[in-house]
Amino acid sequence: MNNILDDYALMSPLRHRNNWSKLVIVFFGLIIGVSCTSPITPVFIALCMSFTTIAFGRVSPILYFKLLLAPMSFAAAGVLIIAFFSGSGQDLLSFKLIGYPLSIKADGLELALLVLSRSISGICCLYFLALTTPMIELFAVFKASRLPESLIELTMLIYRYIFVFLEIALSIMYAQTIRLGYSNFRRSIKSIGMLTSTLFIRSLEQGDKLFLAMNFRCYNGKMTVFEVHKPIKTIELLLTSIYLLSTISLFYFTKNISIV
Amino acid sequence: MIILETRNLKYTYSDGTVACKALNIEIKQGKKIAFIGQNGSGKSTLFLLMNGTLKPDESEVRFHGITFKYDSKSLREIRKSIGIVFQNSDDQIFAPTVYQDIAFGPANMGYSKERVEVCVKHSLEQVGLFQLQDKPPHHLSGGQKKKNRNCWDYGNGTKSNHFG
Repeated sequence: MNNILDDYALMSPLRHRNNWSKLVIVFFGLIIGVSCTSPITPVFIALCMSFTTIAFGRVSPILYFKLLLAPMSFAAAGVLIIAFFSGSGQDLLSFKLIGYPLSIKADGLELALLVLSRSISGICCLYFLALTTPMIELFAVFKASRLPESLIELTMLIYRYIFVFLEIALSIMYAQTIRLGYSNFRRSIKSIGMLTSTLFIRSLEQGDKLFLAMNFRCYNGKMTVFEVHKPIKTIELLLTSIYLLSTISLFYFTKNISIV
Repeated sequence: MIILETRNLKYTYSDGTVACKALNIEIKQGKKIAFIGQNGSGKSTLFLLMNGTLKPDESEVRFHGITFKYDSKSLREIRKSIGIVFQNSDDQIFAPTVYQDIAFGPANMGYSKERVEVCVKHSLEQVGLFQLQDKPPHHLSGGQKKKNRNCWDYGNGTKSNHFG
């Protein structure tokens, strides 16, 4: 089960850095990326975030680009439609497809590039967070941001049980496979049905056991979240400020620039 | 000194299965006791009776000579001293990291943050999981999960332990 994003985050060297500085970087990138009017700033943000994730987060570049491919294909489909069907004015490129005229106009292309660069920058920011900050580090952040205790507790339990049920599902699937449960299409459908219904029943049972287990350990309605204090280092602060300042200045100077 | 004692204990499940009948047990301090029986002979039921999860139909369970009361406050007191370890570790490990899982018991006992930390670190060292304290439970092996479970009882200062 080495293909879960959270696992990469758990092994990342950036995991033990200050969570708040990472969150600031990500949200800053998202907001600037969405609010800028030229594609240059989002591309800059995407490059910075990818560089940080790969160089400091030690994510293998091949994996990173594979991860980028999935959302990029969605973005590309949307961008193509925008490029062909929006905008007015002078044609940059036009041709006929099965008798139907298609053309790309200058401001349509401009908009398409902006949308593409915005989505890339957003994806890169979120991947930076997802690949360097595992869920278990975020619980302390939730607590510090004063979210309701019961909500945090639920999140913690749900997080834990995702993996328990995943393991149960995989072992059921394995047991079914070795008894030829997936030997043809009909049997596969039947086996999957059995697996799903068993999982529902198991989760009910597991809930009962969880309640017992928590009671055995003197549960009194409160699960404590322990925050490990991770002071921000000078070099991190310096790099973060350089990044924030250069993004803001780029945002300011490319306000009215169009590249098409 | 007798820690736990039952006299003529009887328990019947709601489907009519009689799990325990006429059981007299005395558990003395410092003894290691093993319960051996066939499948379905009521070993696990007995353990659930002995920490107050199930309430016997007849007779009573005594802890240090005092009869179990089944209100949540006195049950919590009993469970500070009597731990249960399930066969399947995943049924019992529910916190997102090893550290938090072990800290759950001591924190519920109302210890200060510093004392919880001392308890947890000490018990982690005892079972040899100190290096793994920041890991989520699904990154542990089966054996390591079992160590994790045993760890909380060191953390809690549990006096009597049942292994289901």
